Amino acid sequence: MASNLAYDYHNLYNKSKLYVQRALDEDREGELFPFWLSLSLELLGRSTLSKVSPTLIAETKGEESSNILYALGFETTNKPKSISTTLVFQRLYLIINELKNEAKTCERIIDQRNSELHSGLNGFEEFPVSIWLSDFYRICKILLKQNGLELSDFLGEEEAVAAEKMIAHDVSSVKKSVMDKISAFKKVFSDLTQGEKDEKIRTAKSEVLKHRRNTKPIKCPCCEENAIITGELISISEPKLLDNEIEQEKRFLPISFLCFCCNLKLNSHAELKVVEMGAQYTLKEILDPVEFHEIDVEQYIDIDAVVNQRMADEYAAQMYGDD
Amino acid sequence: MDFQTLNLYGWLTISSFEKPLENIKNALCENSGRTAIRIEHEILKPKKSDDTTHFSLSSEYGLDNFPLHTDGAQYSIPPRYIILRAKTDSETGTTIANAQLLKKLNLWKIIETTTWIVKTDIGNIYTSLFDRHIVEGCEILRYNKQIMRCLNNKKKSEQVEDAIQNLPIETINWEKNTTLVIDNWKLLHGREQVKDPNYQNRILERLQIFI
Repeated sequence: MASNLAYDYHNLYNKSKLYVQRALDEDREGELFPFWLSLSLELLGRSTLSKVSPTLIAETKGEESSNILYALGFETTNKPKSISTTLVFQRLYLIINELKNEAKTCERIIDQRNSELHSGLNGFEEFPVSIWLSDFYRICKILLKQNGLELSDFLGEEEAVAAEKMIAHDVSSVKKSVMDKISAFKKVFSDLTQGEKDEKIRTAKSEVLKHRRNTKPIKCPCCEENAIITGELISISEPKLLDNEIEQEKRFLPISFLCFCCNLKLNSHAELKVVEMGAQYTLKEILDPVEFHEIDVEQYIDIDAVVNQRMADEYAAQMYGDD
Repeated sequence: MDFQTLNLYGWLTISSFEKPLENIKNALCENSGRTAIRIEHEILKPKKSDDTTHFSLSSEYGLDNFPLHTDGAQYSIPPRYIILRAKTDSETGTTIANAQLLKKLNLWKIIETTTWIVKTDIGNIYTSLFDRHIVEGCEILRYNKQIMRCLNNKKKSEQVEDAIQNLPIETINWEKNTTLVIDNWKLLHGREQVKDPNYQNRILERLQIFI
């Protein structure tokens, strides 16, 4: 490894890996999740270009040669400058054929990242991660393959399995059938009388409450009433102590949708992606501290004494009556 | 030399003065299929923390036990093999632990995704504990908590540290001329607390082989 650490492939790759892990540690529905992903993508792109040659990421505009020479291992500058992320990816499109097809998504992610970092605007607001997460994983897979690596090297085994599933579900083949299904259900629902609609809306509200385990409530894309998505468990976070409670996050990959109002059903991740419901979701769980710490309550409390006292109190209450 | 044991377990001991260190070094290079690009030769004696001026495990831990670590984590490519030969008998053993056992833990899914920053001879670098990208076809273990810091959250850092320090250890007891060969890219090693008041009589000769 030469001393050109700012442009060094290993350093850039490991930093990219750190940032993607920071993303994965965040709430998947929070604002920092897409932010860290975008930074990770930039660095992964830079590391891939640097692996071809570190000179390819050296800024040469306006500079004599100090950045290029630094890239070659000469200590010509202690503030090496790099080319813009846009130019990084333009060069990558020329090197990696497969990546050309992803140009639009790459540019959009980079734009939103720039918007978030360099302006007063809320980046990713108009381009939520639910739209592009599987594209992000596919782009990473292409870049990693160029470096002789796999998604599991980058994301860890658990997340890589979920990522591969998201990539495998090709939206284009199901888009038409999903849109046709929604149109059909929309027509049926709109043909109902107002009374019938109100009854269905009421039923839907209570059904959603009955199906709370591992599901997420969501608005139906057809009738806009209460519906749920159900997911496959991807990973569970380490427990955290927050305000005297032990909290754990479960992360899910959405795999089915059901509306209790209009009865629309979507049965695969690919179908959910068509209606922008493919983003991973997170559920928070509060853990019982006694169970979590595997406390044997009987070591601290004489259960028999407690039961006997309770029974004695109840007996006394029955025997005594106010005058 | 029993290379099968070395390749399988990552260490081996040679109990008597069978071979000069130079011969062992040459045999190791031949076994690895690579040439040695540098050899560091040193005589090691325990030191109190006040008795050493440069930043080292002795400067922090003195005569206390040294935590499990790999040698040369501060180099861009750490040494592959460490050869230790006892010049004297000593009651203070060297501990070794097989870091590959970390891959069998449930915690591995956290360990494999951590990124560390380490001060090296060429500047700060980002690395994994098990790095497969520095030398093609090889996985290099790098760990020394004195000069490395986990950049993921504090909890992950503590979990990894606990997992490493709780690895099962073997203790090598030193008789004069016992030689220990460690594959520094696979194994962690440490040192027991030095209790002998004549601690300066514990002398080990060390070769670090960079390939």
